[in-house]
Amino acid sequence: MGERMWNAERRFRGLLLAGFALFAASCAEVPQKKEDARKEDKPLVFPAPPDEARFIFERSIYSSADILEADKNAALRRALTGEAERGGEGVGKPYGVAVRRGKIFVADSVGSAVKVFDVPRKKFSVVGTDDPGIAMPLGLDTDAEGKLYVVDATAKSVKVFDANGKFLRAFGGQAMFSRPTGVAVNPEGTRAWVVDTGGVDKQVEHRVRVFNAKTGEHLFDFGKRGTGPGEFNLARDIVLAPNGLLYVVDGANFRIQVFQQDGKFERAFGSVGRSPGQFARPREIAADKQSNIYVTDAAFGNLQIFNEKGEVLMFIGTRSEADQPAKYLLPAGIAVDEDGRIYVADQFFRRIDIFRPYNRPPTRPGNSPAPPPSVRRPPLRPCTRGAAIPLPRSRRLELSLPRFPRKLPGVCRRFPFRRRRSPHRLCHQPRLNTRHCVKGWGPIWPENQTPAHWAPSRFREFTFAGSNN
Amino acid sequence: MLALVLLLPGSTISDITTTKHNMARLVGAAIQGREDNQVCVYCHAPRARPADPAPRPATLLWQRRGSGTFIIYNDMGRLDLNEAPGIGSTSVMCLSCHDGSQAFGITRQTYDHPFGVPYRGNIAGTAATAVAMAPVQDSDLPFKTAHTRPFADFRPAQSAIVGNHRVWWVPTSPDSVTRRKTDLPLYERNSGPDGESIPFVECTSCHDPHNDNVAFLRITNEQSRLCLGCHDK
Repeated sequence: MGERMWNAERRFRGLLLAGFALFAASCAEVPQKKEDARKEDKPLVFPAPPDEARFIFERSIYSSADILEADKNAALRRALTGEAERGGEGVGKPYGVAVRRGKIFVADSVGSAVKVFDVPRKKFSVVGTDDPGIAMPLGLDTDAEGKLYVVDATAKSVKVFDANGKFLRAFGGQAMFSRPTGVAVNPEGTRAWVVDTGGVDKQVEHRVRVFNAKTGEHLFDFGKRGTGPGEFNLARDIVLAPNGLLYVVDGANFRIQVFQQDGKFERAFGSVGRSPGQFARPREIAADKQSNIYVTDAAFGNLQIFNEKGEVLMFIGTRSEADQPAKYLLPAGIAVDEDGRIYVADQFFRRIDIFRPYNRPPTRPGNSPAPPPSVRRPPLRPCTRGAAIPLPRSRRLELSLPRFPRKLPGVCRRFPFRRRRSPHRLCHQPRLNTRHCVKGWGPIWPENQTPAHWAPSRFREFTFAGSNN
Repeated sequence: MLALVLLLPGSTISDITTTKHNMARLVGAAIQGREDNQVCVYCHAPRARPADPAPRPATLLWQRRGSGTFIIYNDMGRLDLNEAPGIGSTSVMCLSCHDGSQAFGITRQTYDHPFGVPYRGNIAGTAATAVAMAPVQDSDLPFKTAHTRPFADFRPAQSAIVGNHRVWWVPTSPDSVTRRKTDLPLYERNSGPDGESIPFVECTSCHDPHNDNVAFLRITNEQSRLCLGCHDK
């Protein structure tokens, strides 16, 4: 009996192999492409070895086709036929970038709108198409509620939209600004700092104007044109770091200036030059949870990362005329999300690059979004053997084929929806070799090694919703 | 001697210090420019020369390798003092500021005069033709149809070797054999077959960011003189 079953299993596996062979043969016309694809699969880590890896390239977004489900087929078609056309709606000229819970907001200064790429929910939307519209969006920021604040350089105002993209209000106006460029809002959404770049022929309007973000009331200003501490020459962008300090890109003084929230000057770092820690054409700025500061530089074609004191840590990206990951000609907007992912926009290639911290699992379209901080899942931990829940014998038989490797290289993570029956129980099915996960914990699979990859047809029906990321 | 004459006070010669491209112009009455009084650094990031007693570049705390200097765009038009040429054309340098924030924005999508395109004046019939025209033909840019003119509608460009670079220009006066300040420079890209040199039209072919002409034009456009420098119509 046992031997017969073993034979059946072997036959099945033989068939499977034959199927793979057929599939491989059908792809034989495009070996070059496969070779290229494999090269591209090599992960891009930063810094490069032998330094300790801190970030890994995750994906590039050119258009809605890169995140929408329907266009997955288009991606496959492109891969198989060499079709160059990339459908979907892209960004005419990206400027500012902001991210909130997986939603990537990109200011399209030519397209007069903010394009929203919702990677986890596989949705694409456009903000600013309804009245009053956004003539020329530049800097962006969001608050904790998900409200979006957009600098409109033509209307010289900051426009506020709710989390669904509905216009709420605007503040500022033609009399208030000369050339508004960057905006920072505190998480409570009560205060907004807006950079007025000023322009080369303006004397006074090189400053930061502070508003009550709820009422639009103008509170106070700080800074004027100059090169001294607390003075600006063509300031470009501003960010409020979690340490409570404001970091302002002082463009034509080639430095980052640090202020308290009331405008009191703290310190400055950076100088003009071509070396790490210096600036030639600094543009946008972002901060992560540790208050590390990220600055794009259009001349260097990279982003530099500083700690909160202004010591340079590393840089990502090089100049290149090739449209490839981590290669830039005109990097502009930058944002860092709750998980520490970096989002960089390049205006020349009209592309958004995403880098994730090296120790974080990847995100893919359709994955569950990053949960709010209050219900954040526990961190990954090593698997523990021996506490599996055996399923009824009938279910075991149903799932006995095909045989997987003894141990898939997954790690255990607590399920967010423990009451859902099927993913919970299936994960503890012994033949899936997941019994090294203790009760209440399930496997998450590294990219390209999910059960669906091992036996696509057999396991399509089983979803591991929420188990990844 | 000539330099002395040019520097005489009251001279009508103007330079970048009187233009909008002097970012230090209105910085403050007491401070003219940066502390070191430089006005070039706003577009041409200074190199650290070995002879300079400059402080050592900052140590990257997370990245021990890769310090040194970054390559920037081709801010000198490929006359880069025997160093590795920049990556990205002079037009990219213009775009790094002209993005709608501190100065008006430019984009390749508008129906404007094309830039970053091969000059059509002297590539007709050469091996480089197909390669040079490929970016225009394959692009989805609006000027594909609006601005693609026959080869015959362009005047031939001239070239010479300066230093170890080939330099291209379109003469604006018919008797010009050597390059003059009033000629329209083209910018070499080695994008032809076997790295062949192909002249490209960039922003700075028609605009000189250092002068104080209207719209920073290289020469006056009275009776379309500037346009007719290249276009033979």
